[in-house]
Formats: sequence, C-alpha cells, structure tokens
Amino acid sequence: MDISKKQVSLLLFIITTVSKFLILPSVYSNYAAQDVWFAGLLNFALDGALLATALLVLKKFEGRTLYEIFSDTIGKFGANAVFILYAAYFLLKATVPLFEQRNFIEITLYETLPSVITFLPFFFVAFYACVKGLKVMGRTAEMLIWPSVLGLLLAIGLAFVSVDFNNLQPVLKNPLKQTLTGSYSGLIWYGQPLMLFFLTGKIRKEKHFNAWATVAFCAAAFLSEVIFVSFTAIYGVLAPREIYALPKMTKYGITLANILRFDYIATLLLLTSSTLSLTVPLIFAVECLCEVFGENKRTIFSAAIAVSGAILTVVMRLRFREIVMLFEKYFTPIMCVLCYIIPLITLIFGRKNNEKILEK
Amino acid sequence: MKKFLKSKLLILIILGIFILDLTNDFSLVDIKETALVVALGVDKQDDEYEVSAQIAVPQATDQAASNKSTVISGKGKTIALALKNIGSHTGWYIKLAFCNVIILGEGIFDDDVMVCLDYFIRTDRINDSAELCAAEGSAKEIVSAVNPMDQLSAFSLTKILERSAESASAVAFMNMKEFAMGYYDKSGFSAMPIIKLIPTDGGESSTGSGGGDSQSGGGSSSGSGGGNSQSGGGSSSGSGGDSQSGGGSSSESGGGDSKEKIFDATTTALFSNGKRVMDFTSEQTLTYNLLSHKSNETSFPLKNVDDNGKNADIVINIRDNRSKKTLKIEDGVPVLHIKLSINVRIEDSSVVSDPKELSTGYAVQNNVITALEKDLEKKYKELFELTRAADCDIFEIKNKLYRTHNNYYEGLKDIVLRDADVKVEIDAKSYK
Repeated sequence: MDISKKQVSLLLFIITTVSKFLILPSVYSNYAAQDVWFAGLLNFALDGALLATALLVLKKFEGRTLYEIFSDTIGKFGANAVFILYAAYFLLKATVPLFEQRNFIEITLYETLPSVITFLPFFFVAFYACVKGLKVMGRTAEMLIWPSVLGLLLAIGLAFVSVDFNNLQPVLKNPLKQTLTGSYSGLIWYGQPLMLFFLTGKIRKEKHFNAWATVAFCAAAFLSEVIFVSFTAIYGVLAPREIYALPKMTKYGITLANILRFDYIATLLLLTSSTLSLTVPLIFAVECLCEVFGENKRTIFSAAIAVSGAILTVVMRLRFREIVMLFEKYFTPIMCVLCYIIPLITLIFGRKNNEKILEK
Repeated sequence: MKKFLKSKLLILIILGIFILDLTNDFSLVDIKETALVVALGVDKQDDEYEVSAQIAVPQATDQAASNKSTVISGKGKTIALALKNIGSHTGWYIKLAFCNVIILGEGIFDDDVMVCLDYFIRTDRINDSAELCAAEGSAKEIVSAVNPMDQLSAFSLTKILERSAESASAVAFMNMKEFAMGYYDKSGFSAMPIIKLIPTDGGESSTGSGGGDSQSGGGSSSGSGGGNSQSGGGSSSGSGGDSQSGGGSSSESGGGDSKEKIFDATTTALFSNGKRVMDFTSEQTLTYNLLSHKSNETSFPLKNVDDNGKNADIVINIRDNRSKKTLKIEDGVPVLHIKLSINVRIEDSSVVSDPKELSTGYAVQNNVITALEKDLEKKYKELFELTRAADCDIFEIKNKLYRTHNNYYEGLKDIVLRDADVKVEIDAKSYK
C-alpha cells in the first residue's frame, strides 16, 4: 500500500496543528509566562530535527519498511520488541489528547448532556480507522485539509481582534530554566514527524517529497506559533488559567455579541480534523502490533484498542490532571527516547538489506 | 469477524443502540427546565450574597413573538451557593452561557472586589466576555428595572455598553477578562461603568453633559410588550424569601417597581488592586477613553471658546484618534509621554454661525484647535494628578516599567507612580 507525498504532507500539517490548540498554550504559560512562543519554538526545533532524521532515513532506506530495517539490524526478535514498545508509545501518545478532547467537548459544547454519550461514538470511528489502516489516513487528510485550514484561519482572524502585543513583553526575560520546563511539559503534544519514520517503504516514490514535507511542517509550526503568540497577547497574566485556548480566544469580538457565537464554526471544523489527529496514533499502534503478530489479527487489535480507550475515558474522566502529571514524571522521558533518539540511532546504525558490518 | 460485520445482526444491534439513545433527547436537560440567564446582579449584605438572575422567558403571542423577563433571587454565603439555591428552590437549571452582563451592587465594594468576582473567573459556566458594571445602589434594582426600549433590561444595558466598546464615548467598557487582567497585572488598575437608573418621566437626571452615550431624556412609551410585570414567570416563589444563611430565593417578574427607567452609564468606578478608589465623571471618562478606544463619532464639549469673536460652547466631533503612551526614563526620572492625534470638526455651537461655517467642508478655526489641544492637555494632566493622589495607576505606568524597562522595575516599582512625570502632546487636525 502506497501513500502519496501529498497525502503524507497534508496529514503531517493537520496532525501537527490541530493537536496544539486546546490545552498546550496554557501548559506552556504556567512556566514560560509571556515567553510561550519561545517554549513552542524550542519544541518545534526538536521536531524539525526529527523530521530531518525521518527524511534521511527514508532516503537511506528507500524501499525498505521500518520493520525490515530493524530486522536486518537487530534481528527479528529485536524488531518485534521495538515494535511492541512503539505500539505502547503510540497508545500512550493518544491518551492525553483523547482526554483533552473529551473534556473540551463535555465542558464546552455539551454542558447539560451526560458525558458518556458525547464522546463514545469517537471509538466507533477509531475502530473503523484502525481496521482500514493507513490507506484511509491519507484520503481522510485530503478531505480534512480544507476544514482545518479554514477553521484555523477563521479562529486566528477572530482572535486577532483582541490581541494586545504589550502582553508579550518583556521579551525573553522569563528565567530560561522555567521556559525549558514549560517546553519539556509540552513534549506530550509533539513528535508528529515520527509518523514519517513509520511510513518508511510505504510512501510512493515521488519527486520533491522532502520539500513537500518540510513546507507542510513549517506551515504547521508557523500557524501554531501564531496561536501561541495570540494566546499570550490576549490573556497576559490570565493565560495559565485559560485551558481550551483557541475556542476561548475567538469570543471577544463585539460582533459575536450581536450575531452570537459563530466562532464555533471554526471550533467545530477544527474538532472534525482533530478526529483524524486522535486516530493516527491508534492506527500506528495497530500497525505495529500487526507487524509483530500478523495482519490477520488486525480486527481484534482494533477492537481491543477502541474498547480499552472507551473504558479508560469513562473510568478516568475526572483524573485528567493526574494523567498529565503521570506523563510528565514517568512517560515523557521514555517517549522522548523512542521519539527522538531511536530514529537517530536507526539513521546512523541501521543496516540496509544484508549489509554486514566490516570486521575490524 | 468479517461475517459478523456484514451480518444483519450488526444492523439490529446498531438500530437498538440508536433507539435507546435517540428517543430521550440524549438525556438532555429539558429546555423547559432551563433558565436562560441574560443578566446577573450581585449584592452583598451582612456577609451574605444575594444573586438576582434576569431570565428570558420566550412568550409567543398571535401578533408577534416576544420575550418576557423574570427575576429570580437567591442568597448564600458565596455566589456559587446563591446560584445553587436559586436552582434548588425553583427547580430550574441555571444556564449562564447567555449571561452577557454582570452588575455589582454597592455592597460588594466594601471589600476587595475580586473576592466576589473570582467565582466568575473560575467557572466555565459563564463567559469571561460578559460585561461588568457597578450599580449605584442595589444591583437587584437594575436587573429588575422595566425599560421602555427593550423587553429585557439586560438587552438595553448590553447595547449601551457594547456601543461604547466600538467607539470612544463617555461610557467605559469592561468585561470580566479585562477586569481580571487589570487586577492581576503589575499596575492593579481596573475600571467599570456605574449604572444609574433614571425614571423616564423626567425624574432626577444623569450627569449627562459631555456628549456621552447616556440614554437621557425619554418619555417614550413602553409599547405593549414592555410592562408585563404582574404575571408569574413559570417558577415558584421558592422558600418564601428565607434570608438565613442556608439561602433562599424569591421570584418576581419584570421588577418590583413597574415605573419605566432608562440607564445612565456615563460615570466610571476606578479600582486599584480590587479596591474602589474614586469615580470618574462622564467628561473624565470620555477624556480617558480617547486614549484607549477608537473614535468614530465621538462628541467632545469645549467651553468658552472664541467662535468668530463670540464666546461659545462648542461640541467637537472627533474621528480617527491615534494615541500612544510610552514611558521613558529621563535622568533617572520616569516620564510618561502621552501623544494623541485626532481629526476634528465642529459639530455644534451655542452661538449662531455664518452660513459658510455650516458646511461640512469648513475647516475648524486655528483658535478652536489650539483651545481644544490645550483643554485636552490640561485634562490629561489633571487626570494624572487626581488618580496619582488616589494611588490609582490609570495609565499603567507600572506595567510599562515592567515591560519596557524591566531592569529598573525592582528599584522603581514602589515609587514610580509617586515620582513619575507626565508630558502630553495633542495634535488636532481639521478634517472634511
């Protein structure tokens, strides 16, 4: 199954931007104060390095899938172990954004509805997407690019009405240690270019793929930075309090008081794209498990992941804060190794085909 | 598995789920049991809050759809308790998502106002874009007032306040977010308009002068839908106004006093670190607003001006104002530079003018422009001195010190307001 460069680039753009418009800005501002944009920039620099690594891996191991690369380098058993680890990684990766979305939908959109009903249908979609696999990802990205772009532009346009750039001052005066802590706390929401690493050998060979992927990533990073800057400019000292940033930023235009909340059009467009952003890690988790245990078990794994995700969101619905703290304390370091270090090691030490290391 | 996915059993299961889920409105709280609050009034007496909620009750007639308002009150040790008591005693779910106005009674200002307002900052039930205002007297009176312009007094208030947000006028505009930001900022400065009730039968007038946007004058009839103050609002009267700390609630429709009243919002209450320190008159409010709001059709009064040899009171129309406030440290002294550029035209005069002067293309005389510039300069300096004496940092000097001269902040933060100087530069130009 081949996915085109256009689909990969659009997918990278969508999942990079829409994952960052809810809680992340307020997480940053807890530590980085008015330097939220700088904390974001640091994380995007790291992801940029990851993108470069992934593109180099794609070039070096052209035609080989990631499983084949690991098998050739560390053997089948080693490859299985790594893929199981990555399956766990992708499941963990999906957890915080899942709760984030669920809470947003419950608190903001459906105040008087029971929470279970509002979010459970997502898991039917997730199950279907996991069963269908990578081939739906690309096509869905092509469909959702316009809602994503329109939603972002509309939301940013509405938010810009009430920005006060004085709130960004004093620039870079926040203690660097605190800003770096903020950056570290935000890592849960980054790492999207790792997706390219797992698409090794599955992307159609086309010209200018690197350029497409880089432009998509840079555009996503730019729009995300615009959101961070606007958020700080609008809320200033109140920023740490303002979770669910983008939907809140848009409501201060006076027109909204007369026409009512048409800014929710932007929010709903972005939430539609978020569905893709939430399912992508789950799809990759199933892909990893299928590589290890066989394609014939895809439906079982998809069902298991969907059901366990549903149970988790119901059982742990009031524990979002604890989940984030757990991640920051224990999971983020492990996820950083899997996300940023392993691809680099693969690039440097990965073997092509049956290439043997020359004996000294 | 594939067989199951394609089987009819799956369709039956999905149908069953839909039937169970879709036939009870998703267990949504019924709209008939939801009270849509459009305005909240908060009063405080003897350590107890009384929250008055103005509720929109849609009421269609065979002539037209209309809204009726009901005011329900609840008491409690905190605002959250008071709201809960409204809900528990009336059986209505209080929905605050449509509440656009919060009115604070005078009793709230005996203490740090944030003690009351932090509920609205914490909760997600009410938008922090809701407009904030102070009541002269009781907030409940404002909420219960019968207004000749609108069925719901909240709508009338919202129009006055929102219009001021779009154009510099004698009405201050403040929402929850801006108030909280001002409170928590280095300067600690916030403000909110003071709402006064004026009977439409020509009772006690408002401060009125200065071309502000007050709804003055009146005597317009209320229209057929407006009064409706006697019928019940669909809710019980609850526990009969029990005022013990367990809280009580009472219900009234349209206001206890059915006399029609309009609102004057042209004076402004100023706060320093949550404490109310002084009030601005409408003229002072207008002068201050010229620095922070864009003027589309702002009218500014100018007294005792030489208008072609006659002593006149002139009303100047101001457009396209551009202001800049910068703080500079000059020889170790913080100096606030205020620059204001405005385009002006004579809107009205207290003496008869020559016909040619009545043309919209007629340039404003230089002496009028000079008088205007001097008047504004004097007013800004007076505002600075007045607010400095009240320890109220209306020009946000401390914020500017922190943001643009961060190295000086620790050394000067406690004395900057006391020691700062102000320089004002007004540049007025005639426009056609």
